[in-house]
Amino acid sequence: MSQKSHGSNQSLISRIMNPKYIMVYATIAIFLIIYAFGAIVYGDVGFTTLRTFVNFFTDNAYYGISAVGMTMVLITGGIDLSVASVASLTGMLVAFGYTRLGISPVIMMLFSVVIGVGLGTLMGAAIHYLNVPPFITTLTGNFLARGVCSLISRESITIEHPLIDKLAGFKITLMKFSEGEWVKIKPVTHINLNVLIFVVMIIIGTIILQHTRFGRNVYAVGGNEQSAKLMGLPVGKTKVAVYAINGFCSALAGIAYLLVVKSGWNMALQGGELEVISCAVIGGTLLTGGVGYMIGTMFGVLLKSVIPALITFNGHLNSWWGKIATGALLLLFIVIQRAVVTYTDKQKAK
Amino acid sequence: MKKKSSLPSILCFVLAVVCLLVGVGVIRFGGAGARAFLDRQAVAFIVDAILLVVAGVVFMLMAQGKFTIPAGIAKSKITWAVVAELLILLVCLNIRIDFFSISFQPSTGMLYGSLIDIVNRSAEITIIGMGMTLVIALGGTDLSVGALVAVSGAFALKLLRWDPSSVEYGTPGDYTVYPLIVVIVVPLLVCLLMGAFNGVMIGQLGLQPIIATLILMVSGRGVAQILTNGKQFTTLYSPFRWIGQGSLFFLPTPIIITIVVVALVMLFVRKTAFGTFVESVGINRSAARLSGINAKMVILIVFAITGFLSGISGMIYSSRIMSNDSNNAGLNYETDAILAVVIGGTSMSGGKFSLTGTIIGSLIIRTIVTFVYYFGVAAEATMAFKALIIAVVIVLQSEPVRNAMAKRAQARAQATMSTVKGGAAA
Repeated sequence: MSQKSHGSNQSLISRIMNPKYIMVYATIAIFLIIYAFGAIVYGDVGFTTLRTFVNFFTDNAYYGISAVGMTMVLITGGIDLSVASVASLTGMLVAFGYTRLGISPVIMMLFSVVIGVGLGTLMGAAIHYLNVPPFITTLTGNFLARGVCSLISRESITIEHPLIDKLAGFKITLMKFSEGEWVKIKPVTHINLNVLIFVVMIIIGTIILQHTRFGRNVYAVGGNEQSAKLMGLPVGKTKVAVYAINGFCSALAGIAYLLVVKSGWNMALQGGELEVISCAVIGGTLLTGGVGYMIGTMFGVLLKSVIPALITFNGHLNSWWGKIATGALLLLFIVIQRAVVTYTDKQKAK
Repeated sequence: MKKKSSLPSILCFVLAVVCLLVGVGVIRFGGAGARAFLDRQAVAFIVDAILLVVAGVVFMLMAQGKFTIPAGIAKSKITWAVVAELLILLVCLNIRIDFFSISFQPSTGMLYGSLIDIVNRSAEITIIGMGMTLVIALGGTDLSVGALVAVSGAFALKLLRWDPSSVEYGTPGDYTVYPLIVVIVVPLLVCLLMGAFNGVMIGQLGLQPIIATLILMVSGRGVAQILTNGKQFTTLYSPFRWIGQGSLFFLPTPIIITIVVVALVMLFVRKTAFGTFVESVGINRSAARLSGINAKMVILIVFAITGFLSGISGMIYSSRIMSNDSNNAGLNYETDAILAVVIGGTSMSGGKFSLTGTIIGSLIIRTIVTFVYYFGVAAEATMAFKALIIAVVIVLQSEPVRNAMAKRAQARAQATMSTVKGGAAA
C-alpha cells in the first residue's frame, strides 16, 4: 500500500514486474502459446470456439477445486497425498448412503464434508504436534480413505436422485447481445455447476491468501517456520487449519466428481493427488513453501486440459503421448522455476 | 512401590497358566466349532504361555530393578518395527496356526507356505527399498520407481518378443528374439540411465527430488506404453520364467536375488565410505561439499542405483506375470517403498539410515497384505489395515512420543534404583 500511496507510475510497474510473479506470468504465457498453437493449427475445426475454451475448465474442474486447497498446503511447505482418495470416499459415501441406506444425498454430502475436514484436521495435528513428515502422514490418510472406501463397497454404485440430476444438469447458457436481442452463442456453450464452484473457489482462495491475516500466516509459515514461530504467529493453528481447508476442498472435489460420473467407485481418481499437485506446481507454487498464487494454479489446471484437447483435436496421437507431454511440461516449468529462484537469489546477494 | 509395579508380571503368569491349560486340553468351552478351533490352535496357546512366562519374568526383574531395557533399544526406531512385525505374526498364529506351516514340493524343488510367500512377495519392495533408503537418507524421495518397474518390464518383453523383420514371433512361445543376457541387461541399463537422469536433475540442476522424480513418474508409463505400442505382450520363455517363479537352494528365486542385492548394497554402503558420504550429504549438503565430498556425484550415484534396482524389481515382476503391464506394473511401489523405509526407522529429513530397518519395514507391509489375503478380506481393503498399522507404528516412532517414553523409562529406572538403595541402607 505504501508504494501505491506514492502514486508514481514507476512503482506500479515495478510492482507488476516483481520477480515473485514471474512464475505466474510464465504459466500464463505458456498457456497462451499452446493455445495460440492450437488456434493456428486446429482453428478451422473449432479449437478457437468459446465452447472449447469453457471445456478447459469443465474437464478438470474437480482437480481444480482440490488444487485450491493443495496450493495452500504447498505454500506452508507441506504436501497432501490424501486428496484423491478423500474425494473418492466422498463420492462413495453419498452413493452408498442414498442407494443402499436411503439417506438423503444432502445429509451424506454434509457428512462427507465433515469427514474430509475431520481427516484433514487429524492429519494436520499429527504433522504439527507429532512431527511426522507430511508426506508419510497424508500417505497414511490416503491408504485409510481408500481402504475404508473399499470396505464400503468394491463395486461401483450408481446414484439416481432428482437432486443429483438437478445439480449435474444445472447450467448457465452463455448468451450474446446482437441485433437488439439475446441469442445463444453458437456453438451452444454452457457453464455448469462444477465450473462455477471451481472459479468461486479460486476467487475465495485468492481473497484468503492475499487479503486476510490467515493468508499472510500461511505464507509466513511456508517462508520460514522457525521465524514465524519466533514472531509469535500461530504456526500450529495455521498448519492444522490449512490441512482442514484442504480436506474441505477434497470433499467438495469429490462432490463435483460425483456430479460428473453420478456414481461412487472405490478406485475412482486413482493417482489424482499427483495430478492436483502438478497443477499447483505448473502454476508456480514452490514445493519448498512460501511461494504460490491461486491464479497460477488456475492456469495450471487449464494447461492440464489444453494438452489432451490438442491430442484429441489431432486425432492420430495416442493418449499416452499426453502423459509424456505432461512430464515434459513439468520439466520445463521446474527448470524455469529453478532459473528464477537462482536469479532472484543472485539479485538479493548483490 | 515394589508390589504395585510387579502387578503386570503376576497378570502375565496367571494368563500363562490359563493359556497352558487351554493348550494341553484341560480347559474347554463353547460349542463344537469353538472346541475344534481350540484343538487346532493348541500349539499356539502353548507358544502364548511360553511368551507370557518370559514377559512375566522380564516384568518381575524390571520391578525389582535388576533389569532395565537398555536406553539404546528403547529409543531405537527399529525396535518398534520388529515388535510390530512380531505382534502381527503372533496375531496370525492365534487365528490360524497353519499360517506358519511350510511344506516342500519335490516337483518344483521349492518350499511353500505363507511365511515363504511373505518373503518372496516382498522381494520387489525390499530391492527398491535398498535404493530408496539411500535416497531418503539424502533427504529426498524417488517417486519414479514404480514407473521404472513398468519401463523395465516393457523393455524386457519387447526384447523377448519383438522382431520387426519377422512374423513368426506373432504368438507367445518358449523362445526369445534376443539372447537372455540382452533381455536382462538392456532394460537394467535403461533404468540405470533413467535413474541417472533423476540424479542429474537433482544434483546438477538442484531441483527438488519430489518434483524432479514426478516427471519420470508421470511420463515413464507413457514411455513404457510407447515402447510396446500400447500392447501387452505375453511370453512363455522358460529361462525368463525362472527369474520370478523358479527356485534355487529350495527357495524361490526372488528371495535369492533379494539376498544377493541386499548383500551387495550393504557391502558397498558399509564397507566403503559411501554410506558416510550419503549421510553427510543428507545432514548438511554444504558442509559435506566443504569437507571435500562431491555431493553432486553422490546424489547421481544414489539415484542411478535406485533406478537400476527398480529395473531388477521390474524384471522380477514381469517374470511373475510373464507379461508386461504398463498401467499396473509397479503401481504404488513408490509409496510402499517409502513406507518400508520410514517404518524401518530412516527419517524423511535425511541423515542416518538403516538398511536392515527397511527390510523389516518391507516385510511388515507384505505380512499385513498376506495376512489380509489369507483371511479372505477384499484386496483393496488391505489399504485400511495397512493405514491403521502404519499409523500406530509412526505415532510410536514419532519424536515426542519416543522422547516421552524414554524419559518415563529413565524416571522409573531411577525410582526403582533409589528404592532398592533405600531398602539396602535401612
